[in-house]
Amino acid sequence: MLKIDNLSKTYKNAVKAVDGISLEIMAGDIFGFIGPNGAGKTTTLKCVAGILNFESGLILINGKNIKEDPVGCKADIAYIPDNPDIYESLTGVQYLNFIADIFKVSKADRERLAEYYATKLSFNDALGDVISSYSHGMKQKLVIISALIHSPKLLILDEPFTGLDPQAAFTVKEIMHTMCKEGGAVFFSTHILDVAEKICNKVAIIKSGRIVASGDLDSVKGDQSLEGIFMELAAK
Amino acid sequence: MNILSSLLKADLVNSFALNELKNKNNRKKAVGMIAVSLLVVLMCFIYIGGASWFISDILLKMGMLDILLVFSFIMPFMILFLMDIYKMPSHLFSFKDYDLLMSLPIRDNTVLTAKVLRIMTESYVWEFLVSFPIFLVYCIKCPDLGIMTVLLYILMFIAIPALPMSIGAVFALLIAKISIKMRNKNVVIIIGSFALLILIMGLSFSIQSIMNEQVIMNAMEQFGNLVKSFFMFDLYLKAVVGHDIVSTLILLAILIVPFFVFINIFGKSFKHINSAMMETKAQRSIKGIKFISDSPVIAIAKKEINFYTHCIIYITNTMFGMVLLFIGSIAAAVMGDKVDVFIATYSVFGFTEADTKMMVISVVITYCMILCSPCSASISLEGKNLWILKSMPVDEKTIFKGKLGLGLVVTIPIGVLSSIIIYIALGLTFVQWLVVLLLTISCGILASMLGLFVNLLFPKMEFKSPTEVVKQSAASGISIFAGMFIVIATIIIGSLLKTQNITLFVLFAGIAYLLLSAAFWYFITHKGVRIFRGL
Repeated sequence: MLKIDNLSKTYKNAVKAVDGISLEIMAGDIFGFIGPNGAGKTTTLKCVAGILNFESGLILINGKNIKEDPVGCKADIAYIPDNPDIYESLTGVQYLNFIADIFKVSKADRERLAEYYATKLSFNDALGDVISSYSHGMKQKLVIISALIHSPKLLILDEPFTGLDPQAAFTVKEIMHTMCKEGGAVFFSTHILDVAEKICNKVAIIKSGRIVASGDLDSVKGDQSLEGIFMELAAK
Repeated sequence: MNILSSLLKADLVNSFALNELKNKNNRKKAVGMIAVSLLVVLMCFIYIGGASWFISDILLKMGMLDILLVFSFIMPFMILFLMDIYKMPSHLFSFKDYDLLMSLPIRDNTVLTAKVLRIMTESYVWEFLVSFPIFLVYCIKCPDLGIMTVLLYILMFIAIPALPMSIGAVFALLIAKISIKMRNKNVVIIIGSFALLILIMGLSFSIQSIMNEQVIMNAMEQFGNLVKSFFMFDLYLKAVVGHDIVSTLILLAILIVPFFVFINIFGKSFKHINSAMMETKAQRSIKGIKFISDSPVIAIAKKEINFYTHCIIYITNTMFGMVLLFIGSIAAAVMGDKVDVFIATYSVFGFTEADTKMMVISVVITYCMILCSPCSASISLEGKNLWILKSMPVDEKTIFKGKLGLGLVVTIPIGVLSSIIIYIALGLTFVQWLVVLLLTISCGILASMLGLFVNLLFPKMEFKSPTEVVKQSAASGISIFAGMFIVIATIIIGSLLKTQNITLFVLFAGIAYLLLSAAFWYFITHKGVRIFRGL
């Protein structure tokens, strides 16, 4: 589903945010990307989502190269940022329509999926409101619905549980599981190690732009808790 | 330091970014800002002082120099009134730090007073710029100026902003109440803003047109009668010039009492009004919502138009040329005879009246349309939302087409409508109208392409409010200057070619603009794509 090979990204101030990372996500995987603040998680996710350019390395989504066929790659994925900065002057439904238009979702599908996910996330009554009136959590819910409205094969989420109420967080985890059962994959970053431990089958720990541990959850953590192994690696 | 002064200090430091100026790294910026501020002060003193000097000579001849003092009262009064209507909503209703301030252990009245004093501080700056140059001229020209007059002027100077602020706040409250009930509440503010801008321009032109001694003498005579009949002006003269204590006290009461009444009445309902304004009414459930599907280009263009219509500062700064063109065409329809006389008067360089008419119409259309470029801010305004467009499965060309769509929607329909009105009103031939139509469409396309081109070269993705992008960004400024350059270059080329057939020249200008647009499109879809990817 997703293959990252030797990815490096340097910012203008010569800071190497990502330094030669490689990982692979297969259909059915829920892949947790863990690391301290400033480790390079968001940069990696943004490179995969086609938001940031990168100097070297390869990103393949369903066999398509993000640099050579960005439009084809983006059609298969949905990206949910850590901060839901969206068009404040639109209403929720206008925003969903906008995203559905871009992803060429049929009228019937967008109606069905919007209603399905809005109901699941208890968001029905807020869809007609202007986004500027939403709370952080409501904006997050809208971004999640907009990401799912085009049935992506790969869901890329940056700190997806920040700002969500417990019920919505539970629903999102449920959606992630369902998606993977249906042949999709999820690649997400998180600070909440308990969540990663509970829902991921694969994890990677990133520190200062380099991956320090990666693979199946059980092989990475061994006999320890994920928190224990994370603290150990972070201290090195 | 008491709570009120702490609130006021925090507000002023935050509003004017004073801490940034203290920073050693921002020294250049600080020096630049001080230099610009001094230049503004100097310009105001030269412009207002110069006009006052000119009028004072005439007033002296008429023995009515005191009228100048009335101007030092009425001018800041009117300007502050208009500004307060505009500023009050953002300072008194739904202001940004409302949640923070209302969560602190401070009385509502103290918060309101701090907000009002903040506006008042700004008002004094404007009052100084407008009133003081006039008073300075009065001091120089008045043969028997006493210290009492100066002291009473200062006393009135302190009191003047209170009344326009009170009236302005009530107006703002009314506008806010009306706009809440309207489906699209920005319409009220947008129409009001354009009316205000056109009024200011109209007044400015009128002032220039009356810079003639006889006209001023007549006007001053009428104004002198008005001063006598309007009690506030009369009171002001009796107080400041006549040193009459009763008049001084009455005038001070008129200026200040409404202010305290406003603070007290509004203070009681301050929290209630703000709470009500922040509430959003419950909307329909998803069952009642219609989903519409469009192509990606249309979807992006619709998104752009939606933002445009919700951002007042964006509209007022980029649509003024189109509003002027439309009002100008209506004015031409209403006053067609006067336009003919004007054109006949200015038929120079051996052109026929028909050619002169064509020349004036073409210059006006080009000027109004080419300066109207919402696209010059459309990339920058994505700001933090840029991730949405960048993560979408559409190529950059599609994004650019959607953004250009906004520019075309804003310029071309109004431009075409205006050209039709002008065609009917000023009696152009059908061929001339077709050429004007081509010019109108090509100007709309060129303005959009130029704006997008400049914005890609000078993007400003980090900003606190859209005002920074729309009014203060390099792209907006350069786009306007480039537009002006194109207009001036066209006129110069026309005069160098010693064109005798204006219609033919306008036709070539229209085609040249389309070719220039094509060149910009080439850049946008090649280097522009790379720039966009790097943002």
